[in-house]
Amino acid sequence: MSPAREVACPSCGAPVKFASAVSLLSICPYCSSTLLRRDLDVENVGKMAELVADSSPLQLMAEGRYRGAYFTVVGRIQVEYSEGTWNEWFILFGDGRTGWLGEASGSYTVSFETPVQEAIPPWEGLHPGLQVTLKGRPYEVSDLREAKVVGGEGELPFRVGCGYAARVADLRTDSERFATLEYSDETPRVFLGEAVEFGALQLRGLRRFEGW
Amino acid sequence: MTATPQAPVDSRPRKPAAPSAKTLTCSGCGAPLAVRAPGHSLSVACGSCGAVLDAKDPNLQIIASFEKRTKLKPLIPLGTRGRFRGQPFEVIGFLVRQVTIEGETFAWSEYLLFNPFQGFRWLTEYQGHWISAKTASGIPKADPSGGEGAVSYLGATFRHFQMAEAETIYVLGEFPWRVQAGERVVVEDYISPPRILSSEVTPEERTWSIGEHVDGEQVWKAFKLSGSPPPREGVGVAEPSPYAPQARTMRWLFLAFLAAAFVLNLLFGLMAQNRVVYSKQFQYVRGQGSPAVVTEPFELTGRRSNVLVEIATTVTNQWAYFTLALIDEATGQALDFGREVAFYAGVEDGESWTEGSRNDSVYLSSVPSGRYYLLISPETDAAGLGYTLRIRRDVPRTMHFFVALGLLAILPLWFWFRKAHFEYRRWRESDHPWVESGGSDEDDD
Repeated sequence: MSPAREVACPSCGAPVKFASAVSLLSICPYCSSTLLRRDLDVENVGKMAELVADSSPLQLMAEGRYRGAYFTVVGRIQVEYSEGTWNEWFILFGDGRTGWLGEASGSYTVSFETPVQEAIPPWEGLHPGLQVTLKGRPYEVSDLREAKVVGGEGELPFRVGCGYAARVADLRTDSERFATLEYSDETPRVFLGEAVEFGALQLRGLRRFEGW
Repeated sequence: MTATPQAPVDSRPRKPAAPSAKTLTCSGCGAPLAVRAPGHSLSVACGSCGAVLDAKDPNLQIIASFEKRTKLKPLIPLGTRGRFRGQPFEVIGFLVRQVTIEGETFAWSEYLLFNPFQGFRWLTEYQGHWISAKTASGIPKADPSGGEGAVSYLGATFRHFQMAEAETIYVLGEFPWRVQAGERVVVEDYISPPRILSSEVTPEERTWSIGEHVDGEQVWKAFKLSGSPPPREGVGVAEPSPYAPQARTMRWLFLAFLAAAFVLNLLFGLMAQNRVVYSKQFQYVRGQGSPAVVTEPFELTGRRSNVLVEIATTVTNQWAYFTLALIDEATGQALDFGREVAFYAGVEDGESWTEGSRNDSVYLSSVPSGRYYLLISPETDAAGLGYTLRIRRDVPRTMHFFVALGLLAILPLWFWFRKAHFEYRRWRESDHPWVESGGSDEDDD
């Protein structure tokens, strides 16, 4: 956020900060000039929000812990859907297990592709509110998304093409556990996981944000 | 696992375009201009030559237009950073939403807090009551055990509080999506104070957030704000009851005192003499001498305690009145009292009935020890009267126990009333008030 809100004073060249995305005026701390923002859409102030800069604190080779086991972030796919984007980071545990660390706007999930005995309903049969049992536990379909992979990097278990489309169903519970059903192949893939607090992941090697 | 060439990731943080700015300079002398008292009577004047910017100046018009659109000032200015609940957060967005219920409009403020690692948090403020909330990762499920519409989430039961259509009337700053004034969502609140679950339903989706009551002072401290938080009005939706933590103590105290009163009552019962000190039958026939009799002296011993006087008569469809005096032999001091018995019986419409009683008893309290005698003078409408007089000393009474019970109950009852009144005031704002409001219900606090 903050670095973006800095300008060089047109009078003396010193860096001048605007307090927020909608600050119109600022005083140069060096030459005391009054600076007037020119890029602010004054007409929309109070009516429409600005968009938050979308950036992930994770990056390849970041390390963390999940339920006591160490993992390294080795790959990433970037997925886009109508409401925004999210990242699925491919993680490799010390014992060779692999999983996915999902990350969007500061919320984090860890999930694993898990074979299940139960029959998975076809995409056409899904609707929000539908109850689905996976590994003997109840889940509820919360939303259905047509997602598009817009990028990938690092090591991944499959080849990612730009624009690769995936139909994704999110299933949730009344706890932190959740499931994702992905309908890109003939047989849907099942991912079971849970939402995790950022602090609990004990992540290291993160991207740095100026001022934070 | 394969390491494959991938489509490139756009890993640059997507930033809004860097702002651009220009300086305001005096057209007369070229010195920087200063904006004075923005928000009040706006003026832009040259600090050096004193020239005042013309009202038609485009720069001034932009500033004036901006000022007009930012009349609603967030209590926490955008751009403020603070340490909230152990993590640094910056206030990046502010919006005001309102609901209309039965023609009345209620507006509240929401502040969006951001930390690049922790993501977003919401701080909402309504009438001085603050709630910190974040997106819930699960979905609550219906829980009929908590009453109609209740849900359970993460092991707790949340009771349905309110459903309303909220309209965004003002928005300032940055949000993860394009919030626009005029947007409407159906908001439903469920509470388990100090926690609150809220769901927002748009035609596309239903999102849940979980929040918790926060003290205004805590918010002020976290963001190092000047002044003091707005005063609280009424009871907050998720405000924890100040009585809840004491309720347990109160219950235990009451039970403890109850047990103590019971034990004391039992002890007094065991210690009491409960002794018959006098008992005698009397016959009175009208026209045969004076009805008044004087008993033989009897001894009342032990501590200052009660005396039970029992009179058993044989009246039927008659009455009798006894004028009595308990006289201390040594001092001659008398305790005067009168007792009446009346007993009627008959058969009416094949059913027998009775009214009144043949017997009477009375306690005389705190009678000191000593030698006493009793003076009795009966009156009656009967031709003759047979009665038995019995005097008992130091009789244990359970009434004392019930009086103690009543006194002990005052505090817990008062406490329970306060607690209930608090909840009543909370729920009065909900869809489920305890009493359906009849238009005018003024707050008595």
